[in-house]
Amino acid sequence: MSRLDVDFCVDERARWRSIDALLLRRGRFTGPDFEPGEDVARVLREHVRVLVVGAGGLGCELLKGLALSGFTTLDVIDMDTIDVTNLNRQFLFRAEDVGKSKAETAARRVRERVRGCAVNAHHGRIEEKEDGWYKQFDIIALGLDSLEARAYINAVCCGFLDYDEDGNVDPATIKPLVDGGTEGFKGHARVIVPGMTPCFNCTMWLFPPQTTFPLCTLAETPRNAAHCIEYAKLIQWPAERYGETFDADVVEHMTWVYTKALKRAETFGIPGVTYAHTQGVTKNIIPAIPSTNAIIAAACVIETLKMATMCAKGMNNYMMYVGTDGVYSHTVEYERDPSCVVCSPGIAHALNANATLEEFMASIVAAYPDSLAEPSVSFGGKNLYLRGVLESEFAENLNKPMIELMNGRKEGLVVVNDKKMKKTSMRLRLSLK
Amino acid sequence: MASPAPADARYDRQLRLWGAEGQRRLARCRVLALGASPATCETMKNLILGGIRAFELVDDGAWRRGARSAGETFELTCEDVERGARERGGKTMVETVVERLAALNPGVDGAATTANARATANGGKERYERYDAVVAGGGGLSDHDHRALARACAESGTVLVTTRARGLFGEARTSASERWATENVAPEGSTAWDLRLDKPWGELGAYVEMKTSDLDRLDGAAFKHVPFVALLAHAAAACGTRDRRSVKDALTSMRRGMDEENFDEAIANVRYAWTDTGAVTKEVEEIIRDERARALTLESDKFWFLAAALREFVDREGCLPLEGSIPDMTSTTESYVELQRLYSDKAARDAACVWESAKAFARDVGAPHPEEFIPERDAKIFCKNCRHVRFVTWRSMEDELFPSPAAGTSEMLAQALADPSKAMSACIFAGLRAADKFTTLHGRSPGVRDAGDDSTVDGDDDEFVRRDGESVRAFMADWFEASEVKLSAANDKLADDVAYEIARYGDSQIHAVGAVLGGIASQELIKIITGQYLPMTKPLVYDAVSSTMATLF
Repeated sequence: MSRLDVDFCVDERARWRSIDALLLRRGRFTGPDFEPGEDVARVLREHVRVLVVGAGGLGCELLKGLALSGFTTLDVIDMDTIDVTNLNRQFLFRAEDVGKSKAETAARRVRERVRGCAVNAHHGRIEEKEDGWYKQFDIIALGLDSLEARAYINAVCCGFLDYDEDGNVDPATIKPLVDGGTEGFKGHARVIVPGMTPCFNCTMWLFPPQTTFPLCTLAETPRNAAHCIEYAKLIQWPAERYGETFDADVVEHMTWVYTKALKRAETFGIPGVTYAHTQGVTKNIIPAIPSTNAIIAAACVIETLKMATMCAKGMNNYMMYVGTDGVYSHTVEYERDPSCVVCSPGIAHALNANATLEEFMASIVAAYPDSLAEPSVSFGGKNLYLRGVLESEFAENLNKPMIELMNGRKEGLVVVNDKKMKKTSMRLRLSLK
Repeated sequence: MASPAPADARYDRQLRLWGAEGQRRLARCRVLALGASPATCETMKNLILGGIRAFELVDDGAWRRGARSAGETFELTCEDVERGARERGGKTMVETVVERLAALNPGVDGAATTANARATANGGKERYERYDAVVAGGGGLSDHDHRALARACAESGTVLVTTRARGLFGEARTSASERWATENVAPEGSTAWDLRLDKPWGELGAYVEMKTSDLDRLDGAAFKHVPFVALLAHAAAACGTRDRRSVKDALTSMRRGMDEENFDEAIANVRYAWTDTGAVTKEVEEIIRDERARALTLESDKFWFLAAALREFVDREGCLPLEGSIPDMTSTTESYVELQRLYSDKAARDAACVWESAKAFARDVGAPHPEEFIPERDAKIFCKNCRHVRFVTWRSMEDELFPSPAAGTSEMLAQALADPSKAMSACIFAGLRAADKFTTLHGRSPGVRDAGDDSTVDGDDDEFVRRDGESVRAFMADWFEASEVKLSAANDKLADDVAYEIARYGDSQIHAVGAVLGGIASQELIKIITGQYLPMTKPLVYDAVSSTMATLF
């Protein structure tokens, strides 16, 4: 080039031409009510706010992908700091970042790379934010490695739902979730539209229970390396280092547990205790590689883009990916659990015609012991029973028949709250026969 | 102390998958990348993070036309593009991308070459011989260029991974010279243990006898800790039949109460009483009777020597070598460790036999150092995984791009079209071929008014998109006809829609679509390079509209 382009500026339309083809043109596989044009492009670039939960392997990929899809307001929340073992896949981090906040570092790197994209970092726990804080986002993308954290966000979002008497969800109260997860060569991406598609809790059966070892096995009949490592951590550590908390990130602690486990294993003739295995067992390490994270996160990004713009149909509603034997992927439509305690518009519950409020409460606690212990009950917006300081005012209702409290109706939607459920209300469609 | 060196800490999470040997192979790998498309950059990002040795990226992108790259690839920013266009003699675009990629992992060397990817692709095999793998996608590479690459890579023995994306549609493909997959090849979630309880060998029989001969005289605690393996073998021998009911009844009659977990385990695993877990499978039979396992030469892959050795073992023993591991089970430490050693010792003996005869075969063909020619580690892994080892082969790219009855690919295409879960993918595959033909013919992609990289997309061009879509559809019809495949009415409509959609997308390179394709490409390449897990050998079609992936042919 002979001439210097002193005034050359990147033309925004040229920069976004690949995405624009999806937004400005009609298509054959578009989502409901898609109307191509500048409006939808403006909504994407000026209005939609996406929260990314987790700034780890998936989170880094999610932030990059969303920024390069044209989203301009992103938030990211993560409580972790960067560890050297993150560097094989969390590509926004460098060796010199070890120890820094993941959320803040990831946000800064994406801001530096993608002009016009504001990324707000929140270094902290997801539980520290008020439920209302999550309401400001239009879509929440999850890049998490824990069941508990997924269940928490799911419960918060399902808690936003408003249903009418007939069990129809108020669309304005829907907070869509896009969820990704990986383990080694395997992963899943899914879309959760609370109130419309199965929520995380509806399909809890997808996650096998974690294996834990009975203490008597660890103490009396250890048979493999994991048994010896668990024994060193759970029994020898508290006995010999009383008052100190075991910290898996402190090398001296890990080395101590490894040494004890190795000695125990040698005593019993058990092979396989290594330092890496000790780390794996004590930290419950899940193998992780850049490629699977990239695939799953990118699939989540595309779903987020489609959800925000309707430029193509959405995934329906769960994609699994297995990369150990060639590439096997399957997209399935899971169904809602009609008796999901978190998202059901009304779990069917039947009682005899003259059952009292007290009997009703006893029956639901018996039916849902994991969710209920001391329920508060309301019907048609009116409290029938409240716990706490006002409890005595409702005592007289306890012996009244439900049919009377439900204004003579034999069927109706009863809303139950309980401290045990924390975030959501349980909705029961009670019929009295 | 065996705490990991800092260099290992970076790779800790992946070492847990492919181990130190896999990582060593990766760390020797040199990769040539053609075309700085999102998919290629993403492939390279993942490989560099994974720890390959070195890479070279070839692209002729000019700064003046870099705006779209800033929107598509994370390795280029708007500021880079503006600085590049304003300054004379600064870094080239490809140099900037390489610098950013190399910064992902200080252990990896990067080189940038400003050259046309298409010219490089057609340059002949000498260009590839220095590399273990070639990654190609974007950079204007056509199907024709990919074929030229595939031929050159086949000649030079280089692994090739190609990707292609148009909007929400994409494809990824690997090819390599045929090879063995022997490590980490057991199917996902496989829970079949090689227990040999139907035909216990000497030591196992003695163990069962020892653990069960005095069953009645054991105290309560000891009784509850007899390993289920012994209980089951004892019960099966006692009732002398393979009938499920009888073995279960025999176990039940041996119980003292209902809280004996070892008996629960025996009943849950009752099938092992009659399952011949050492049976020679059809797949193993094919491998060991293969002509290549007979006509051994110094040039033969070393695993053919192991296949031949396995044949000798099978012919002599009538079963496969023992796998050697056992599940955890209720037991005292002592009984369990003893049982575990029994199995691992037998597996080691079986593997040693196979290794010995493999070395003998190697000596027969004149290998000077048989124990180096066939390392012991390979023999052990081969025997441990012999039920699942596979000799992996790839079809030629020609047979996929031009399906024919002779190659068998026409029928596979027809099958895909008849399968509702694959019909869309088959149409997309055809659509990508048609768009390629359109582009070659018109010098621009369907749906793109101006071939320049700095052009923009118009909204009110339905008519233009429709016309180009019809052209694409016509080329699709030609392709199906040449493949001797007929479309059903439903697929006819699907093909119309796919053609229109391809014209709508134009030559869009959506970053996230590239990230999915690059993720797959890098993952497959890592499997081939490490020689672990089973690589994908068929072209994969990715449909981001419904978020599905399907392999064809």
